[in-house]
Amino acid sequence: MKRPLTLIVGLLSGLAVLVAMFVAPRGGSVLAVVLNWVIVVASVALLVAIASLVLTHLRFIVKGRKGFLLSIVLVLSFIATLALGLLLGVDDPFFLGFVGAIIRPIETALLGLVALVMMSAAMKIFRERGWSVLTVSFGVSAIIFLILGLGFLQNLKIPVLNEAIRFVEALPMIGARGLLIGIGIGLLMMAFRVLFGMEGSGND
Amino acid sequence: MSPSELFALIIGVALTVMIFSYILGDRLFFGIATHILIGVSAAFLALVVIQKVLLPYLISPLADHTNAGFLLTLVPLALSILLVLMLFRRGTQAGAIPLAFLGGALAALAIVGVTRGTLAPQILSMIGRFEPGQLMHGAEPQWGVILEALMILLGVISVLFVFHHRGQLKAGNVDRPVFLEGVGSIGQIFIGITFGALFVGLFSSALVALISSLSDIIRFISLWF
Amino acid sequence: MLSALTLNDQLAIALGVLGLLFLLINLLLLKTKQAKHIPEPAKEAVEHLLHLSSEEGKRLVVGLGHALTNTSFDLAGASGLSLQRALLKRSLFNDHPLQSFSGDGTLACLSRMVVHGAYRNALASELFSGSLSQLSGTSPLAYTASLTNYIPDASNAGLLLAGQMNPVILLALDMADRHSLPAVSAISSLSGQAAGFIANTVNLMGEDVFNAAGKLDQRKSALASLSAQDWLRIAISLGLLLGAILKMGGMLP
Repeated sequence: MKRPLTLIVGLLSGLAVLVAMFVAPRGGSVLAVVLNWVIVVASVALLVAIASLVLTHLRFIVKGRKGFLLSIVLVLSFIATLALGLLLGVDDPFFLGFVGAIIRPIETALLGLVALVMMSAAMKIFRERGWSVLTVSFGVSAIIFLILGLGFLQNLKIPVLNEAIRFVEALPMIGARGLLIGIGIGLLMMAFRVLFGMEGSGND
Repeated sequence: MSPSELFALIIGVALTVMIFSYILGDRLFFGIATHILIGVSAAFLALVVIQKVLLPYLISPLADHTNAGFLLTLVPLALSILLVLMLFRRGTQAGAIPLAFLGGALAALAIVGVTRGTLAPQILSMIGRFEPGQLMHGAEPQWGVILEALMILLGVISVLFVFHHRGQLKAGNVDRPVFLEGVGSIGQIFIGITFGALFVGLFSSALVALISSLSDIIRFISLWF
Repeated sequence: MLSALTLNDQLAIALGVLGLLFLLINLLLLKTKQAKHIPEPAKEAVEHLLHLSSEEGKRLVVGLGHALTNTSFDLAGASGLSLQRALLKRSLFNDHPLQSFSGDGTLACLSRMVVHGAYRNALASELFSGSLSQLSGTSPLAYTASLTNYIPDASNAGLLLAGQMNPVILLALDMADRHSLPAVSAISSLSGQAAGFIANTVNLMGEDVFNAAGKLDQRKSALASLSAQDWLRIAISLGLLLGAILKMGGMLP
């Protein structure tokens, strides 16, 4: 069970947001203040987590833990970027170019790797998951949408075919709607548990 | 190509090749490239947060105590100080109050977001398909539209019942009624179709990224030959 | 005041009130009777993880996701914390306690608090280490890459992904597959669930993602909300059917 103080703080902040958003739609100023606080506190939490990340890797380096070379890479790249940013400013074009030149190719390559991983995973899906209603409909749907993605059938400009394509393209929305409503129901219950202190960390 | 562009290309290609070494089962070069990413992106985000959030919304209002916002800023300041104490082993518990504040606000936002942004619009949009004006053209029923609206309605309900696990507990397993099993199976078909379409969408985006990475490598090689 | 609200907002309030009411009723009902059902997929996944952490004595790696407050405010990003807490209770005194990674500052702090609380409740605060719950990256890709690097460690027994993640997480799942590390994914985003389905994992879908901790916890609130979810699902389904009939009859605006 939560401690009274944390329970009250959580409940008050939650109720302030709820009241401002639902019961009094004109309570914009209260909402703006609370959201401002949320943004500031979340930002500080991010800085605390980043500091903790760097400190953890510094500890790994000092202790010579397995893989500490990678920790050196992380800490050096962190310090270099931080120093350059403090020196030039976050909006400096050279600084932005430097960060972009490093982050962009790595992130693009990682996304590219995902394409290869997806291909190999899709090949194995029937072996791993077996033949079921779910896997068969997945396979058929993937093939159909791959073909539709080529745009070849649409270019034939046959009215009946176009109508059929429009129908098929609407099908994924059914599953998506059902899943989204399901996720919404689960999330709503979780939110109530958090708001009323039933989902404590055990340290509150 | 200017020297700075060339330099950026060389760095980019080197990092790309290091990431692609993952395919060969390498962990060292992949690890180096990803740790660079982690370090650079963390430092960049820290700078952005300090300059764009903390300085204007926390530090600046505190600098002028005659400002109306001064008192209001004391609350996030106090919460922030408690959070910073979390960096120390003995101070971890101090973070409970600011985190409870965040948790409460996030829960409230989720309640509003889910009900107002997901559940209500989805329900209203499905019901909206049964608008008499759409289902009938004069006195003529629009069978295509009627069938589509019915299929969406019943399809969504069947997907919802895929997750209805209530049933009799027999020998440690939940025995669901045959009716629910049937409805759930229809729902699984729709989920499979959705995942198939999502797979194709995700694959297409990832493929574009792969082509972009490979074209950078080809551009680099073509500089020398 | 309510009449000034749009139909969407009125329905939203009705759903919120109904959800809360169902939760409270089920909390009261639980006092008088034992919970009857446990969701199957969640049970399967959880037992899988329990076996890994307790029988093999190895480390369970938990990826908590990368989206709670980073890009937008999304509570679904914290859905892995209850699982982390429930699993942690059973691995506190293992040679290799559970290790969790977050890609979001607030989530990392919350996760650290969960770890600290677990040790404190077990009267073993001196064993607490902040490194058991780390921030592993500040962007979805940095987070995934960091997690991917950590997976091949020989002392790892299994991977649990629980929280908000995008499909790039397939890289971590692929790494787990390459090293024959069993994986369970309980990702709360739709595209993340599709990614988990493609990969070789025990994949939880839809609202099951939020239920997995129920079996482990056996907490009254978790069990009551499972039943409340069932009730709300039935209410929404009936509401859809009734709404469609009323709309056709011209009785709804």
